[in-house]
Amino acid sequence: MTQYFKDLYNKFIETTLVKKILIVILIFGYIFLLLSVSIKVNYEVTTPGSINDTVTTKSDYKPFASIDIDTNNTVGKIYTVGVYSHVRVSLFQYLIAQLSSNIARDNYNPDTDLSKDEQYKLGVIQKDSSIVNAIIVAYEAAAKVDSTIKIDYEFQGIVVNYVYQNSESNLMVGDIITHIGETKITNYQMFKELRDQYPGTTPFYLTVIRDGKEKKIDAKKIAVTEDGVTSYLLGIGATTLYKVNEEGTYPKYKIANDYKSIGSSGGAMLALSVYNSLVSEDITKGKFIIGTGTIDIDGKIGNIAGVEQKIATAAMYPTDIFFVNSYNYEDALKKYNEIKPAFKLVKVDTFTEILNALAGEK
Amino acid sequence: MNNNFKREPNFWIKGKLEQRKFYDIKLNRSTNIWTFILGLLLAVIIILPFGLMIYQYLIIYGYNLRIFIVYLLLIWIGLMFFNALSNYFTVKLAQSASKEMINLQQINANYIFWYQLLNIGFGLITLFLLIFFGINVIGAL
Repeated sequence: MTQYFKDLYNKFIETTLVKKILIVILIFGYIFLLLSVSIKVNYEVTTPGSINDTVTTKSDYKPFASIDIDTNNTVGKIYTVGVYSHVRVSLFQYLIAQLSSNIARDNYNPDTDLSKDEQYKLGVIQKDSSIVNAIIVAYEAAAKVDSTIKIDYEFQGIVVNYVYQNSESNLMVGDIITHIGETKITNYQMFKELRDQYPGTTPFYLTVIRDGKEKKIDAKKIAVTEDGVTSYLLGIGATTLYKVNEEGTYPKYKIANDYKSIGSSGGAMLALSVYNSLVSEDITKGKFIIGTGTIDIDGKIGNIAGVEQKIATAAMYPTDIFFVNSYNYEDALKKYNEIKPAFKLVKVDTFTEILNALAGEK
Repeated sequence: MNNNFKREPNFWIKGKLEQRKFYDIKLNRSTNIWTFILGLLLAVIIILPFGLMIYQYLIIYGYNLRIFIVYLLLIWIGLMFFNALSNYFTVKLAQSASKEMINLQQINANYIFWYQLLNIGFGLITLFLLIFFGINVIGAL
């Protein structure tokens, strides 16, 4: 091999000046390409993604559904929509991402922003909570139409889905907070009120369920300043956790063991699919429906990230209707007007508004 | 009519002949092995940034299945190029290692490069494998 490179070097020495310059340019070009695919930059790139199955029933099989409802009703063409997020991309990926207006590029701070692993854990917890919320909302709405449908559930606690690096709460991802001090928490509002009873950084204790065991932990809030306003918070991300009691629920359902997508942004569409699988009438009237937005236990649809990419994703499918909440509507409309897809963009803030919008469809 | 006129073979035929000449040469066992391995290694080094670029492009733009065929085509071209480069380097390395072998020195590695770049057998096998894996990937999406 050494001899080969010696021969190459000798040839290089003997060659003309123009060829020498050309060879040097090629070598530098090669090094630049190699560096551009190797060097990571602190950007997060979000691209359009794909749509996902939601619910499956005995007569309408969907292979990648998250929930299996024990009915013979049609699920309809209702899909959640996901985007792909890439943390700390290469310089080359950052550059090519600029070629499409459907791709978002955001600064990424490895010291404060969530890592890929943390994002995944957060997404799974959000999905778990979102599925249960969707089931409760849909069963309760369907029970108003069909009296045989029923659901029984109870509040379990507040589940921690991420912990900021500067948090002094001693909480861990996956902890379920059941008490603050001696008081049992019964809903999210109560959790916030109890937390705020402790002024500044006064220490207090929390009761949590960690790895299936009850545990008391000492916690302290931290000062968080946003828009010039300082408030004292636990430095965590959290969501509510409800448990559905099987005995008091009809029809029966089963949640998939592994999810094809994670996160809570599919909550509203999951609720719609569950509802359509429970009631005998296909309320979608055969329409291809995509939507995005979280759902809480009261049927309110919450905001999500990456709505522009979700609109671009929906445009790749034969979509008829796209549901989005008020908070994300302006961004969605901007992208909608830019790419002018064939579907209808509908603003909804509650589950009832989705049902009303579909009832008005021909 | 001039019966003595013989048409000059095209570069692909020339490459095929040169490749056959190289296969017919009895290199010693160790030279044969290390020139082959180093030829592959040099081809990997050259193709590496381009391969990574195709892969990273797929990561960013892979959401658009409508142009998935373009990715398969790029990978196919990359594999053909890799095959051509590794054969070219194998011959060049062997020539540097065995300068005393006159018949080896007479082989034109450039023709081998072009022949292997357009090697029908290798091209069909890799195309078949890519289509097979491509269908599996699309099916899984």
